[in-house]
Amino acid sequence: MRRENRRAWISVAVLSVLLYIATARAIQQGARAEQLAEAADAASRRALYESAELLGGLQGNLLKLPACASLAQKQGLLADISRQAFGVEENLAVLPAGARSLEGAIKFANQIEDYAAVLITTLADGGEISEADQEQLGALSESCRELQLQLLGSAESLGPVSFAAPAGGNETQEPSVQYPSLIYDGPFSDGAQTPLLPAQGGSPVGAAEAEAIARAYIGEERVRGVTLTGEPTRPAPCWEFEADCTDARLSVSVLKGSGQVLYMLSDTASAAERLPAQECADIAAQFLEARGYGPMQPTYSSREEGFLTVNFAAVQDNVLLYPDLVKVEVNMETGLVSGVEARNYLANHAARALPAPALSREDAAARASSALTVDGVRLCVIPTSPGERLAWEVTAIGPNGGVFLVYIDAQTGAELTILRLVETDSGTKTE
Amino acid sequence: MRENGRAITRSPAPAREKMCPMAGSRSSAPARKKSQRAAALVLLALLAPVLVCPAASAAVVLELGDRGDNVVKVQKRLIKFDYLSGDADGIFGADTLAAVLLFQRRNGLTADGRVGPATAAALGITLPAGGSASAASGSAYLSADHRLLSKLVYAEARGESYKGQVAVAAVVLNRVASSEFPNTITGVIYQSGAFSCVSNGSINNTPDASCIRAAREALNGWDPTGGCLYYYNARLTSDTWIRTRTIVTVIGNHSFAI
Repeated sequence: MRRENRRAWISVAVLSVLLYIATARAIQQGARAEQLAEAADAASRRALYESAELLGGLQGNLLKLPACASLAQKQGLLADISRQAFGVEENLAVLPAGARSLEGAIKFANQIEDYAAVLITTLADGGEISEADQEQLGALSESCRELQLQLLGSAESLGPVSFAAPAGGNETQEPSVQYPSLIYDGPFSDGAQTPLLPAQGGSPVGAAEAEAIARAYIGEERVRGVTLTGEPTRPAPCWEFEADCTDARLSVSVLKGSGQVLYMLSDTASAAERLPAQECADIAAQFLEARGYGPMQPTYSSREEGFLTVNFAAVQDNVLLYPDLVKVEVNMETGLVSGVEARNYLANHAARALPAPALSREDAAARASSALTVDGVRLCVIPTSPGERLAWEVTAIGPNGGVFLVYIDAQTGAELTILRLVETDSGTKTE
Repeated sequence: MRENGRAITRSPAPAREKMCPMAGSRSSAPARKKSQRAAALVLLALLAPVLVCPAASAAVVLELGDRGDNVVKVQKRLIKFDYLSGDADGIFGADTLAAVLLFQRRNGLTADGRVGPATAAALGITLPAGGSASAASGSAYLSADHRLLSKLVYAEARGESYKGQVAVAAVVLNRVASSEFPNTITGVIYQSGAFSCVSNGSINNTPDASCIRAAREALNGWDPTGGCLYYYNARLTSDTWIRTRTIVTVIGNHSFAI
């Protein structure tokens, strides 16, 4: 009996200790959760107040802009407006209200930023802020005030926030193509962004004909079987197939309206870089030529995870057409083409009536910064927002050895944009 | 024992009954012992999540190609236990892999070359989330976006086909390009309420090679969604709003919409 009592007491003692530990841990976790909740609350309030403060500044700058006489002042104000709008958008994005209720406000902030960018370009081209712009700026300023009042009200309660999309945003402005080329690919690698593909020439194709096109595009000798997997409607109505091939499983999308291939994608990784990059680049070029893409020139390549991706731009009369871009991915282990991305080519490729450049090659080179040493000049068409421009691409070396691409408008001599080449492990990127 | 010269074999009396004649029925003492053990087990089962959850909720798995502070931790332990020689350079390479495999085999763990919670516990360390980087290469700036996008793809679509993974990454980039969403990959991914993997922390896991490649593919321009801004799992989502969006295509378990 004594032994049994001792065992019972030991059990009780052990369980009590465990209960104590569990309780202590629960209290500790509860305190931690409370701390985190408070920190999140503080961060949200900070974001609200900061957005409200930035909107106040925006309101004032938008009203000041038409009153400025000097170009330098206007450009400085527009730079401030752009920065403030970006700050509003960044702060709104972290609020706990949920993504959808803030979409209107974020869109408004983005549109102000884009509008400022357009005005900067207008002024740089020698234009002026028109009366229509002035009215627009006034409306934007008023909308900033409305949004500011809503935010300040929400900051007090920090309850669920709901914003009506403010009026006055410019609906037609497209964001300039900066972010993608800034990050990870060759010049203008994202081309001219269009949500939908324009109608293509050619005849509509049915599913059977599209499958035959997909087989021929991949290479009949590679294909074991093809299955129709879907009919997506964007960026244009397509037939989507999955092809079981000797080396991989490929997804292929064929436009219904023209039978052209929109993209090809492989699900199989590459085990090793068995083939040299130049050989793979040649394979990519031959692939495009055999499929009727016309004169194409490689502009950039990157090598990652056993694949070589080569960007090709169409060529017309020795002018490089950057908007007409095709990307080809080659498996460096097998030497087979594993991917093609042709959206920009399909969206933009057309025979152009290219004017003779008003600026000579030498003049263009001279317009690059005196701090740069010019290494080469060629004529090209680059995407702008909106549209495209004939430009001289000036390759130049900076004082610290950095390589720059300076694009000079071939008609006006204006400096359109500057890209810097960045060496990475996988290739040369632009920013 | 002998009685009258004959060996007598007696059935052993139940020890407890003999020791405790006032216990009542023949089975009361063992039953009490059983019920005490059962109660202890139930209590332990109830307490176990409270005791061990903090560690389990942030499971990090290191594997070949990973880099970072967690890898340094693992390497230091392996060096201390003489499984690895040299310096802890924070790179999970072939030598570290061999050392991990040897450690796992010798300690009765699953010898898969990956350092998860069990192997970490055997090494006597914890691996907090965020202490390692994926195997993506490139410049620091490029790696940050590529890495973050890879983590999102892994958290949201690691069970999907490769095309489905590229599609999820493409949705993020489409949002970046859209004026209705933040203008950076970081901004889109960390936008409040946008992705459940951010709020539940699963975005902090290490992505696999397929997700890293899928993210790169999307960054290079491939978009199987045709410009979609939303996706959802029709079987799982309870979000009625997202079901009002126009579906463009279905890839695997995800419906992609605008």
